[in-house]
Amino acid sequence: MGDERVSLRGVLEHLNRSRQSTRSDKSGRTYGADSWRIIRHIILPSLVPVIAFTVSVRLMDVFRFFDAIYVLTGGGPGTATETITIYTYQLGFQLLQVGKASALGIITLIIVAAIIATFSGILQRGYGRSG
Amino acid sequence: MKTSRMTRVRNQTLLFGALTIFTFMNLVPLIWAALTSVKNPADAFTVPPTVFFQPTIEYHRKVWFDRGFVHYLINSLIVSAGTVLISVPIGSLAAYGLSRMPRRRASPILFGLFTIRMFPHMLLAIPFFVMGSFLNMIDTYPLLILALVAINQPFTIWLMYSFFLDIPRDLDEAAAIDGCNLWQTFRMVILPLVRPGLTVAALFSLLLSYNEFLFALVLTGIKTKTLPVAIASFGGEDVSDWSISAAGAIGIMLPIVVIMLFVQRHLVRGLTIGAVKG
Repeated sequence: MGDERVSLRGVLEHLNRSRQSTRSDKSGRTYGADSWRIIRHIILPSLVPVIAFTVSVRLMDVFRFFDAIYVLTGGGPGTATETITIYTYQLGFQLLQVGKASALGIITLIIVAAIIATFSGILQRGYGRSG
Repeated sequence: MKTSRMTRVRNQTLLFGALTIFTFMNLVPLIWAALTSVKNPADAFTVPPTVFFQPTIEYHRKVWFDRGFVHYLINSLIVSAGTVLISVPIGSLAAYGLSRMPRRRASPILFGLFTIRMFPHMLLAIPFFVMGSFLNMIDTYPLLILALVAINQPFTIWLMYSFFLDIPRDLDEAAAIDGCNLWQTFRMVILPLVRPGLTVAALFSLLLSYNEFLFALVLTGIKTKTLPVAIASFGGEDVSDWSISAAGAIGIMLPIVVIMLFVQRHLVRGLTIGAVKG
């Protein structure tokens, strides 16, 4: 699912990492931690908010993933590659059942919101620390 | 001391290798498309793919002249330019206001914007289509531009917000003491300082509106069809259409590559400045 947004995420994450890590890296080394432990116990925990943010944004993107499926398979063969997004499109714009399609859209939104909500606790914690 | 240098060399080598593989994997589809676009269908379908073949620019010519590529390109450029020209000014004004508010009041608005970012586009496409039909605006440029501005705005505001936060408020105060009103402070003191941010925001808005598929598919017709939708419709059942689709895919890439070459310097600087301090 190559997407131009991935690269921006990558840049942000990398910059965030290099900003936070240099100092704690050194103190970790002073206490005799090897590279693996520094990554596992110092860098990774400090990245939790960033990772949570990235994951939730990518999850939103998955639920709006449309063009490649539409162009490559159109949801077929049969309904094998039909995602909720493709199904909504077919309901709304091919079968012209606008009400049903809108309802499905709202349901999708609720699912996404529920997923995001599970991450928001982690996000909030990170927000408080950096702000 | 020596071991640590060796570790560093080893790490660098591993990193370089991994990045090379990653880059190559990302480039494979591009190379494939470029090769297919200059192959005859007979060559395009051989297994394994041939590297030596009689190249032809027949399909590029067909795409550009027979399939109305220029017409779609102009549509795409109008829509993209419109989106950028509306999106970036609104975004920077909003972001400036938000960055100068107490954080307590700005946070809910920013979170609200984040929530809008969460909306599945399909959910928005349906009402946009229905409203467009009511207003008799389907297949017009303004409708598509407005829709794209709407979905682009959360990103633009968030991006510009992080840039404006970097500018200390002392500058606003200094400008005020020198007799600037709010607008002059914004226009003559703060805005020039976030120029890298404006470049990044404009570029990402451009990429979004240039690549956007769903809204372009739903809201356009014969007159305003943009490039991605047009190219998607090139690939039909006919075998020779593969070469034509590939030629179209290379064609859609060219304007963006040219623009990237021009703004690259500003872009890299903008990305680092905004993210490091933001």
